[in-house]
Amino acid sequence: MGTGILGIAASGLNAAQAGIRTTQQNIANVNTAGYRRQEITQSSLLPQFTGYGYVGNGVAVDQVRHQYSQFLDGEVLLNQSQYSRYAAASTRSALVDKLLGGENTGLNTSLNRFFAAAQEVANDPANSATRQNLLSAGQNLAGRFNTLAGQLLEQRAATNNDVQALTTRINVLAGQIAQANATIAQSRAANGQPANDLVDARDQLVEELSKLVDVTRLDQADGTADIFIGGGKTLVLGLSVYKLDMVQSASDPAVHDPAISQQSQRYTSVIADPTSRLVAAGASSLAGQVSGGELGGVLAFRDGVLLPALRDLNRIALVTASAVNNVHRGGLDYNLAAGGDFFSNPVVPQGATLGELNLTVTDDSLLDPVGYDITLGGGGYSVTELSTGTVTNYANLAALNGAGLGFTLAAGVPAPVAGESWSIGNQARGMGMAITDTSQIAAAGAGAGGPGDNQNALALGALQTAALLNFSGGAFTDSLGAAYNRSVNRTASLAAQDDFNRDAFDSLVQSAVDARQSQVGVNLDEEAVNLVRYQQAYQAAARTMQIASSLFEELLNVVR
Amino acid sequence: MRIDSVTFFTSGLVGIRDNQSAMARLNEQIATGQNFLAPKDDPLATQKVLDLGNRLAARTQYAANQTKADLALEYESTVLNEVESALNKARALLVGTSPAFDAQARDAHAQQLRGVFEHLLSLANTQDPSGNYIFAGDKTTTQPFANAGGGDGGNPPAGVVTGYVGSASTREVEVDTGRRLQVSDNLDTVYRAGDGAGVDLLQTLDEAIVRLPLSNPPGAIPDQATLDGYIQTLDDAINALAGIQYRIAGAQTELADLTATTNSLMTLESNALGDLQQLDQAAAIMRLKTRQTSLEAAERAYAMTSSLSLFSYLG
Repeated sequence: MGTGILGIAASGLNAAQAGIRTTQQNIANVNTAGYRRQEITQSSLLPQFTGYGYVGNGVAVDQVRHQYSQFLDGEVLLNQSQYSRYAAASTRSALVDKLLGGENTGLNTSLNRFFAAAQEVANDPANSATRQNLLSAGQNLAGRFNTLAGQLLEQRAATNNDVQALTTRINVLAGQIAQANATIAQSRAANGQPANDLVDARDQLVEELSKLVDVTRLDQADGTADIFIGGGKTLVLGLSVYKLDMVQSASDPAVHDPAISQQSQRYTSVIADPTSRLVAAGASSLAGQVSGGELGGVLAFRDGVLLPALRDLNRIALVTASAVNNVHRGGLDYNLAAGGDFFSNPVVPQGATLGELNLTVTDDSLLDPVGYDITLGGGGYSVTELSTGTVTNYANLAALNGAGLGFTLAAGVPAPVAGESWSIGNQARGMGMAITDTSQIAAAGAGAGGPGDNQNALALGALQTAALLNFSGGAFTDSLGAAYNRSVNRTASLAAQDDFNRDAFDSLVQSAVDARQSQVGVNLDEEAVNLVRYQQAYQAAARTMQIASSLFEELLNVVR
Repeated sequence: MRIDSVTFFTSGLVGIRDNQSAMARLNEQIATGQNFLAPKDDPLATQKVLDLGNRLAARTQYAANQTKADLALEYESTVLNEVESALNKARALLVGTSPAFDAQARDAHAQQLRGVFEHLLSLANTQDPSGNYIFAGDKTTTQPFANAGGGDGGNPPAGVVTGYVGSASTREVEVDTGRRLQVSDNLDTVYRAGDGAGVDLLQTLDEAIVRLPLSNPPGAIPDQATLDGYIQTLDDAINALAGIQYRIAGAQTELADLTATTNSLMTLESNALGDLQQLDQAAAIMRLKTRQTSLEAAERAYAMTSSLSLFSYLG
């Protein structure tokens, strides 16, 4: 009987010790990210049958288990992913927003100054000072287009770097998750008990991953978790990883989309080489499929804010250059010679090409977002739309002009000859001056008798308010300035939306985390109570052991 | 509800963070006096601001054009008033001349006419402050009325005293969107009165100057019919001039109306722009004050709760 008493007391001491250790572990990890509070489950040992019934045999610790809610975890992942997406988009779109809309950085000041200068030339056309002013204003306008486009192109390059860095980081995490899967499955197979701390650490990696990309997970019976990203593409399957790389965007080779490898590999090789690279084959593009995380935010910003803003700017530059040039060529310069291009021709001659093609935009809504390559062969003009790669051949300019491309071309001086080629694209970055001397300004109208005529300068000035852009319902609806402002407004609306969603998901993440932590987080006061509870249990068990010992002593004394 | 310690201790930070960022924003707004710090703060208002800005810029240029047009018209009208008085003086001289006058009187009239001739010639070749000939049409850099040795008493009458080498075009200035105002005129109709191909005013005066003086043989002295012809030429010129002066007066009236309209629209648009852009300072400071109060409350609450722990009471 004595050993039985001691045995029960010892089991109580053991259980209390396990409780104290678990409590200490909880207290120690109160600030550990991803840690879920643990508790022991204990049960009464099988009782012993005696003549007078069952007598207890002590207590056993069955399991140390952690608190876990798949639902609350899922909520955190989902909201975290969306928050990261909008936070990433918001910081980036704010830059574009401020760049385009700033009084000192935007286009309006230069645009207005240019047209004011044209009117000043109209007020005093033979005056070299007013002509010089127009020349400088033209340079300033072209320079402003260059700067704005340069900044946007830098941002475009930065998004490529972001995609590279983020896909690499995703590879690292995917490798680590698969590695954790391996360890978890192994330890579970070895001793049949859940590896709580390993699972917590792995799930923390999954949560980190959800900040980079939208993630769904599927838990397997062996303790491993399979990870899917971008609306169902497998990233981690047990111990294997489908690595992320990059491919050129189908609609614009200058931008890089994330792509997922078609072959999986063991986590060890991904951990050894997680770097994401630009590849031509073996990976499927994830364009349009990533909807969350920082990667989703970068892509949404790039495709929704940056590239449209760049295209708007290019479109406005193309129309500014071609409209000003077309008017300018219609006039006479100071020496009554026919006017040439004012801005450099947006239909840029390639290589040794000398021939000039003069462009008129007829419907800017039809223009290719990236641009065109044009070559003149023996059989006529062939036009490549750069965003799609579509090549169309036209027997001559009349056929090309009748094709409804959104622009028409006219042969300039010198006239194009077979074998020559031109390119249209990046107009804002490439804009420059075609004339350098005040006498080359064609202020006089056709047929003027002297440099005092201002008809062409008036026509240049009138372009300020003329509707030249945003073709809709059979007519242009916006002036250059209005079209630019519309573009600023578009960017601003999207940036505001990003801010709004970021703030909304910020509080959703907060409440999802709070809800989860209220279940799985450590409360120090609660642990203090547990500590006291287990301490008292320990003290009581120790006391029973002492009593058992003294009973045994009593017995010995009787016998002695 | 159960709450974990990390959430309990950090929940106060959200309030502190939100209040601080709101205060930073208000500070920046108050410092710049601007309602929006970036277009995204109010995309719709921003587009209005930008569109208004463009309209104001265009209108400012129109206002400048109107001032220039007014100056040009004023300048021209001053010169034309001079031309008018010169023409009237010449007319008076011719009306006051008779073939019956003695040689000395005719000579005196001729001398006075010569002065008027020179004046009319120089007025026709008037240059603006930038050196442009204002009556040369678009050939503003070329002297429009040349004096090819006229008025020097050549015998017989010189015939090719002057010639107009300017052009017939006139200058327009854009004074409002799509509204162009003529700011220069052609003196062709005045100096070559009638249908332009008619009699040349300066040549007529030159002829009078040549034929009136003493030294000429009696047959060369103009008879009364010839003098009446001279006077008729002057009358035609005066009439043509009046036509131009009426046009200028009309243009100036229109310009005055337009300037008034432009100015009031500019004021209106500037005010609208100000209303959109400028911060209501008083309201902003009120908001700042409110934020300050709630920040202080959040900080105090944090200080009070962060020190709470059951462990402090367990000995």
